[in-house]
Amino acid sequence: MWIIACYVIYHCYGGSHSSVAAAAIHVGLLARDKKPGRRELTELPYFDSQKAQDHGFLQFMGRGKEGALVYSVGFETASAPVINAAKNLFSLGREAAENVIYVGTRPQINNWMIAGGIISRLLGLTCLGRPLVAWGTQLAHRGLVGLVEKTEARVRDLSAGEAP
Amino acid sequence: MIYYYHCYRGAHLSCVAAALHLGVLKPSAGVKDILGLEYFDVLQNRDMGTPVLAGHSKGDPVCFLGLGPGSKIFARYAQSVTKELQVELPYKSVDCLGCLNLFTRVGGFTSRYRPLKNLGRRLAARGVHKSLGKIYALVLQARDSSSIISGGAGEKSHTRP
Repeated sequence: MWIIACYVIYHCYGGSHSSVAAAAIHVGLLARDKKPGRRELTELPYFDSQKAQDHGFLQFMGRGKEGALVYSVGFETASAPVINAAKNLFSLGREAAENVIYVGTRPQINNWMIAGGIISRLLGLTCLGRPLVAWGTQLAHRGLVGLVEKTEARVRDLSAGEAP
Repeated sequence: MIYYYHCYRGAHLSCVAAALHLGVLKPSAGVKDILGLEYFDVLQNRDMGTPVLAGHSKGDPVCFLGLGPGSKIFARYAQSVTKELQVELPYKSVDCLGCLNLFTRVGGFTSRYRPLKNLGRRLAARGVHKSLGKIYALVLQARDSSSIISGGAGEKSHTRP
C-alpha cells in the first residue's frame, strides 16, 4: 500500500505532448532506457488530444513508484500567474498545498514538437502534425527522462522531510 | 468565501470591482473618485498572479489580481485542483475582462510608459467609469450568488459538495 506523499504536476503550453510524455515516463507508461516508438507515444492517454477549452484541467496519468500522484496540464503562456494565484488562493483558505510539485517541461521542447503541435492542434492537420510531434518527442526523450529523475529526487526529499 | 476579482494586469477593472464590493467606491462614483483609489493603476506585469487583499466583507477576504492571458485557465485549474486534492476551499473567481473597453485598453497600455502615465491613467479611469455599471452588476452577482447558495455555486464559484 502506498502512502500518498505528494502531487506532481507536469505543465507545458497545451498539455498534449511534452507534459504528457514526462508524466508517462514518471508513472512507467514509457520506458526510460530506450526511445519510445511513434505508436507507443500516440497511444498514450491525452497525447495530442487536447483542445484550447481543455487547457487548465488536470489530467491524471497515474502513480509514480514513490507513491506520488502524477498529472499533466496545459497552462498556455500563463503558467507563472496561474500557479502563483492558485498557491495564494490555497494560502488564503489556510489549506496546505506544499505537497504539490510543479514541473515545467518547456525547456525540453524542440522545434519539431512546436511545429508538429501547431500543425496538429492549432491547424487541425493531425495526419501531418502528429508524426512530426511524435518525432520531436522521441528526440526530447532523453531530456524528459533527466527532468523526471530530478523530479523524483524532489519527491523523495519532500517525503523524507515529512516523515516523522 | 474568498473573492478573487481578476483582469489582465489587476490595475484597473479588478481593482475597481474590489472597491465596489467593499463599498469604498459607490456605483455613482465619478472619474476623480476612481483615480483616487489607492491601488488604481498600481499593479504591473511582474505582479501577475499575486493577489492584493483589498479588505474584508462580512469577514470574507476580497482580493484583486492580474492573471495576464490566464483568466479562463485559472478558473478551470482552480476547480480541477481543489477537486483532485480534495480540498474544501470556498472561493469565487470573478473575471472582470468582460468589462474591458477601448478606453481602458488604450489607457492601460499607455500608463505603463512613464512620460504618458498621467494620460494613460485618465484614459483608463474614463473607460472604467463608462463600464462602472457593468462592473457593479458583476459584483452584485458575485455577492448575491454566494449569499443565496451557502458555500457558493454558480458558474465560477467552486466548493466541494
